[in-house]
Amino acid sequence: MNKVSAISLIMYAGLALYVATLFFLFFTGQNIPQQVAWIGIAAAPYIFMIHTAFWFFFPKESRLAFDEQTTETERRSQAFGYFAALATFLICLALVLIGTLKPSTAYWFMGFSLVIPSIYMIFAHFSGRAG
Amino acid sequence: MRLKNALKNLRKDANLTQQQLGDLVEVSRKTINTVENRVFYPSTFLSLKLAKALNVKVEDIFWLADSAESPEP
Repeated sequence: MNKVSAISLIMYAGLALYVATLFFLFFTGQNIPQQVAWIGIAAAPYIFMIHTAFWFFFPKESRLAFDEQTTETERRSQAFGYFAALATFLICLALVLIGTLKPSTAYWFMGFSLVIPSIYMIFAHFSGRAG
Repeated sequence: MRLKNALKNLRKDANLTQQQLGDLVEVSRKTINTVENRVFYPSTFLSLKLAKALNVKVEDIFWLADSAESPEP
């Protein structure tokens, strides 16, 4: 695994860990400051800048890290994430309509589904299908 | 029909490691490994690059087999 792949994997893992931590804090009933929830959104431009910097300073490693197989796996992870988020939304909607789930809790479940592509990519990295 | 390949044998004949072949065609070692193990099917572009790197024809690397038991061409 080259350094660009390693950084990419760390970013996926960091995002998954961040969302999982928020999810855990919410379900254990702890108060989450609003600023903490915005960290994820604030991190997005930094992730973009780090990736751009790697393409600029390490073009060869970046080409290898985002080769044909990795981009194909990324496409699959996004497709899988899309359908997983859609399924989560429909399940949450049904549970909210029958009164089993509170809308505020459903919101957290739907937020968590957005990190599924990252989790998919982490598995892909370790199973040799990305990076 | 199944797509089979002789990439592993041809790579070994050329005395190349997966990493060295990956460097030649600008993909990662993992990609070479998954192509050899038929987990990932490469594009036409990558297939042509592999053929060029190994100095063989694309048909020498990849071929269609009627069953898993079909021999190499």
